Amino acid sequence: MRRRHTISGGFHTPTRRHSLANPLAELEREPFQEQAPALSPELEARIAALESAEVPKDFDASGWFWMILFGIVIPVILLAVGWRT
Amino acid sequence: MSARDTALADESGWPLLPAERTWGPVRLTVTLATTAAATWCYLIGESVGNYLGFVKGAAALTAGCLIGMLLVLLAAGPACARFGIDSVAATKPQFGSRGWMVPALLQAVSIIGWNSLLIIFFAKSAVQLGVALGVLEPGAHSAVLVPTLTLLACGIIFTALRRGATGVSLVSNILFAHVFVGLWMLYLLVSHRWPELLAAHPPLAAPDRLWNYTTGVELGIGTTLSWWPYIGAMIRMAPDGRTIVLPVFLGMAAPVPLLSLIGLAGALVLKSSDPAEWLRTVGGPTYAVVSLGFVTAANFGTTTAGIYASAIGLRNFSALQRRSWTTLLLITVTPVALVGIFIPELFFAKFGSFLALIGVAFAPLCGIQMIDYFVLRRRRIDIRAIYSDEPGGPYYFWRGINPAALLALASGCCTYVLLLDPLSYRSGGCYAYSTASLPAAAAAAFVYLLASQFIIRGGRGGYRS
Repeated sequence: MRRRHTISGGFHTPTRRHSLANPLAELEREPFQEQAPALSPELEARIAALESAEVPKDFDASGWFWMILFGIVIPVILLAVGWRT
Repeated sequence: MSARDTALADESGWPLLPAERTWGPVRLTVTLATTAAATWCYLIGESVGNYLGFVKGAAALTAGCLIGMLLVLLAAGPACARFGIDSVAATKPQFGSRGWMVPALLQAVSIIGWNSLLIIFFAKSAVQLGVALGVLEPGAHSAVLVPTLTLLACGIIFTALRRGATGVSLVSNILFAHVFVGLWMLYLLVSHRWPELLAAHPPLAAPDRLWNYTTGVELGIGTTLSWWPYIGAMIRMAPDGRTIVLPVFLGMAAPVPLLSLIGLAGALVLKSSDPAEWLRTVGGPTYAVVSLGFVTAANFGTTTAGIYASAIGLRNFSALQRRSWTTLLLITVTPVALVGIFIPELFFAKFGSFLALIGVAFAPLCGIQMIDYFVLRRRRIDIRAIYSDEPGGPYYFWRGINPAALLALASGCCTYVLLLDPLSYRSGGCYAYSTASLPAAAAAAFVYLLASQFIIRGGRGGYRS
């Protein structure tokens, strides 16, 4: 079983951390967990904290709305208006 | 959060914890706007003004900038926003636990190159400002002053960046007003010369109207694609994807075309994109002083953000992970200072072409990242694997390199060059209907999608069926 560094640099037997808030985040990592190499203690602690917390979403509905508006709709309008002038 | 934690977050290439990602929308917008507004805006505007009139040029350039920003946001945004990592770390799932050095090299060369250009611009503007204010005599020894001012600027940037991202934000807060000075300059030119602006003919316009229009769009797309190296280091300081979208468009995509209109208008009406020169024509020496102050401040802010992004990118090299922040800053600042001190004129004359060639790679890079994240990985990233380069890891592929990504990158670059020579602007194929960047991104994405089927069958890459 893989050993996990703690932030103080010591070792302890890892316990699986399930995230109730975002079980998918845990599921994503699961297949590779046994292959993960030893990381520096600070980085290990940091990643463990991220894995045990809810992973933030990339873009929510409002984000997609603004991206479609600014990245597609407005450029199309600008191109049409500019071409006619 | 303690001061030590803040410092760690500001100077680390590691993923940031939610508590460390404290930049709200306003702070992010201010920082991105200060980063985006620089002398390159005049150069971009001047380039567009070679092919298009004012209204058409403004429409094409703005549309292109927004489209390019969308590509960059969809490529680097998801991983950076979710895990608080920078642009280079976000390429590890595609390029592999060692192959990421390819985008890292692109980032380093692009940022250091642009920073060197901007810092030389800064020094030259400062000399002109000194002459305009009467502090220096006309014909002052710029051969001595430019290197000296370059060194001074590098020293100030180095000092500011000792505070990491907080230093970038601090400089941005101080210099943010220059964006409004730029808009005032644009208002002056447009209000004084509107009839001439409408009547002006672009000097290098091709007979094909569509080609000219497409080139304006392409220049806009290419401009914002070159923000790829910068954007990760900034947006990772914001807590999530929801916070970054509007600031990226309003702070980074919008100011560039707006301020580029200064160069566009100046090039069309007064045959000079240098605002100091035409503001003197329009409003006398006082306006020229304001303009020079603007240019000086603008380049200083952008260079600060660039050096920060570059230093964070270097953190991905294992040999540099443990080095002090001061060492990283020195590694990043020193090439910029050396160029500014020893070969400013040679660099000015030659390096623009090299930067144009480097810029070709960012469209394919975005295509690869988008197809990988949204289609192949279905928005799943293994944050642990990003920081592991041990054989057998999910992103190890073969010897740490994903051949599919390299093949796709090469395909995208070839597609771009076949459609548009970035140096001579000779075009071919469907360029007039498609631009060069969009097909290059699409070609890279398509090749990556196909080649990745073999990677997935080989059980590499951490893909899940």
